[in-house]
Amino acid sequence: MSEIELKASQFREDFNRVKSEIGKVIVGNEPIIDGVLICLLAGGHALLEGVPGLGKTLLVRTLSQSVSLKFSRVQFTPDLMPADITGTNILAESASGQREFRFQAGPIFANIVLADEINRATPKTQSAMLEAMQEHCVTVAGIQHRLHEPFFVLATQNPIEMEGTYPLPEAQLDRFLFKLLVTSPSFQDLATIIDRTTGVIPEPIEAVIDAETILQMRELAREAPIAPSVREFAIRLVLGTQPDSSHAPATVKQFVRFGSSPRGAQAIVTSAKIRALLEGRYSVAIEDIVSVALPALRHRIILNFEGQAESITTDSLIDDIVKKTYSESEIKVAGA
Amino acid sequence: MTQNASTLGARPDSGPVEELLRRAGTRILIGRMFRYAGRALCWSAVPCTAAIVFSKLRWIAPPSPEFTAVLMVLATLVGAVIALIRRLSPLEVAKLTDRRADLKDRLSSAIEFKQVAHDRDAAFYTEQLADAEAHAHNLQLKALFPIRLPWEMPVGILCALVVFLTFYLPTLPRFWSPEKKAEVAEVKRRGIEIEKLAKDAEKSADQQKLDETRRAAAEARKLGEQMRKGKITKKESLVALNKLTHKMEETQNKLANPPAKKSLAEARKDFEKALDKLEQQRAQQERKAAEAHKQMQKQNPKDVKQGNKELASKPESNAMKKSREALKQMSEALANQDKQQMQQAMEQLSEQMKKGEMSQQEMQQMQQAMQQLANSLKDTNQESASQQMQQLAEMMKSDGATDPNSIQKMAAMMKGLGQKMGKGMSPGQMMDAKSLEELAQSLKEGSLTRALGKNGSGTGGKGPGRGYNGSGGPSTAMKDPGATTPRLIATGKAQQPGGKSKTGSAEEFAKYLAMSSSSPHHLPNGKIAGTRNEGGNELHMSMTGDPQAARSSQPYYQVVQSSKRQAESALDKENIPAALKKQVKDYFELTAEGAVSKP
Repeated sequence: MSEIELKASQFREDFNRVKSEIGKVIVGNEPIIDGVLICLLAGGHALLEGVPGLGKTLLVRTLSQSVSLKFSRVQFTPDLMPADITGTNILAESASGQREFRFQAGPIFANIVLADEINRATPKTQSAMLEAMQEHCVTVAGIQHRLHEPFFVLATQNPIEMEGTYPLPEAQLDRFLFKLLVTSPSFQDLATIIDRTTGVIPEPIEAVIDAETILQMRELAREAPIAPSVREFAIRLVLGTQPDSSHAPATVKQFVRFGSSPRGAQAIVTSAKIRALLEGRYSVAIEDIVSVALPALRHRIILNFEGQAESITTDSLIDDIVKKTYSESEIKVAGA
Repeated sequence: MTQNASTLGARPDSGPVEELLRRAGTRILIGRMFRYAGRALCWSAVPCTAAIVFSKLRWIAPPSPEFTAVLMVLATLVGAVIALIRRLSPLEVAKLTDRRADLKDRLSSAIEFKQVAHDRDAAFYTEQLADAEAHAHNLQLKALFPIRLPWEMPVGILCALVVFLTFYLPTLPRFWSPEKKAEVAEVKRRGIEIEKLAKDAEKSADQQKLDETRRAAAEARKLGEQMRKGKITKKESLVALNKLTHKMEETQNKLANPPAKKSLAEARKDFEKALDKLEQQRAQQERKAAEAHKQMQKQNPKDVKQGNKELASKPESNAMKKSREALKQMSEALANQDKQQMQQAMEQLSEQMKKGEMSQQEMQQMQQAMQQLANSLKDTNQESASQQMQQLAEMMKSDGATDPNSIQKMAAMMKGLGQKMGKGMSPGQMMDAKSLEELAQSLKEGSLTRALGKNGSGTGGKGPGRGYNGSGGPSTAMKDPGATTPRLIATGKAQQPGGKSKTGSAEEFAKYLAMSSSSPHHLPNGKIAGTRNEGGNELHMSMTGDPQAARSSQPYYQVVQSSKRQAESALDKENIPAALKKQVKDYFELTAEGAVSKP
């Protein structure tokens, strides 16, 4: 067995172990768990959207328990200030009795940060997350403080309560690798949830991987190659979200105001590489691109007024784009 | 397991993946060929079938079998060629194989990685290629790219089969109508007869060394063989027979009139010019003589009376007059290319010369005329006669006309010359031409039993003399035709369909002919045969005349319908132009309408 084969095998094994640990608490929602883990391994951040009570917070907390990483939670409220997240300089007395300003790190200084109900904070507070999420560092009083690696923000938001919320600005949305929609559990899943939560105390979650392993897994995933034709498919897909592009289907031209930025293409390819490794392949397939297209692009497409008025969902638009890109890139050999 | 870029770049192009893709490409190509060829066959055979159906409904003229066959074969070939033109690249084949085998772009990625040599992360590429090869090894191409016939192919084949059967089934004896069977039997029978006749003729020609006849007989034998084997239809056999007889006649004409530099018509023109010139010279001489006589009259009137007497005592001789007529006859004979007439003219000249009545001056004129005739006949097919005539003219010039022996000799020579002109051909050629003519005549008339023999004394044949008519024993020409009191017996063929036949005597035959005040549309077919018995020679004439009117036992409308069906059936079986078919159809419609309108 070659070194790469061993590494890939270890990669899958570690992933499945974490997933298995999370599965001890979280019932169903497997695509969400996969998505969160892919975001963690890709070095991105995830935005979980769903109505209250679907286990978003529980998922994040369980994830932090299954990996040996420092976890912090920030409950976003309208009166939450940026300093409450990043931290601030406080006047403190040293051992020698001297008074000096000392940086008091905020909750952002953790490996996994749960930004619960992020849309309840004001844009000012939300924007405090921008630098942290993109640069993995915060600047307080002119001093830049680096965050711990791996740094992973998991934000949740409630789509139904609009009063007293501040929708995330496009710039911030773009910084999330995936936007994952948490759906209601199925009948079977709900039955399992009831059994687990109302019976005996469930067995404790064990931390199965550490930060070092996660960083190694990230490095391995980035090494996975992508064939030019598959890369072309990803590019066409991203260009297809832009209404002025020739690759865009008619629905995109009609209902989209802005399409995905290059971050969308980066997100697709990076996450597709992880998926390829998880599937036991050593190169990215078109199927990987398609499978990550929805969570990677759905929050990067901004609908125009007509689209909003027609209640068009970005998911349906992405479906159209995928179909068109498929048909364009398909080899057409009559009689074959 | 890290491998550098150069190793990757130098990776052979004939690995398991490439080998698999090559085989897959071949299968795809074959599949495409079937698909395209099937589609082309289908789209060419369907219209052909439709055309045949329409032709059966008499909407259009029936398509030609050759055209439909060529169209379908050509379309199929074009379809196959088009399929071969589009070559698939290994990447295309890899993508197709990935899609069919659900290999998640393993093969196509491997191909692309091989095409673009990367110098980084080589270990991953190597692993990817190994993974692709492992998956390629387990692929079953037969299951992935099954070579199936497309649905168009069976449809096309079915349509082609229908077209083929439409043309082929009617050619099978099982599906022939009684009329067609009778027709084929007739062709076969005639083929056997022609073959037999040709074999006999060939044998005879071999014995007598008649080249042209032998060649013609060989051709006739081949034709007969084809007819016997049923390889050609009645129509084709008739056309071939017609061509053959025509060719024989042409050969015979060539033998009878061998090609010459100069035609006899041209010779005639030259000869007429020469005669005119001689006439003018004669007239000029007469004028000069008359002038001389006048001068003599002025100078010495006494001698004029004597001179008049001398002139009066030398008028143009009767022989010369007749000779002049003979020369005119010769001119006409040349114009008509009538060798018999030439012979007669020469014999006439010989007769007149033999009489010895011609004066020296007339003999001189005669010599000049013969010289001119010899010159005119030069370079024609009477070349040898011309040379002899030249010799004769020189003899006449040298010997003069005084010696009676010479005159007799020259006359005899002239007669011989005439006989030679009358013959024209060598005996062998004559035999060959005659034999050819008879063979051609025999093939043309359909009397296919030949009396063989040498120089006229043949064996077989009921009719008198030589010929191909008859099948019996020897016959001889009527020995005493002058003593015959012929008794003409007109006998009609009995049991003719559609009416009664007539049998009667010559008087009745004559009466029958007289019955029709206007000239009949056709003359009765007649054959006169002779028999010799104790009571004298008896001539028999059998004739097929118009039958007597008979009462019809079937209503007219039934006859029209029956005839219409027969005509339609015949039209369907023969290759008749659509326009003519319509004409026939219109005729029956008009006839039927007339029948309805008439009470």
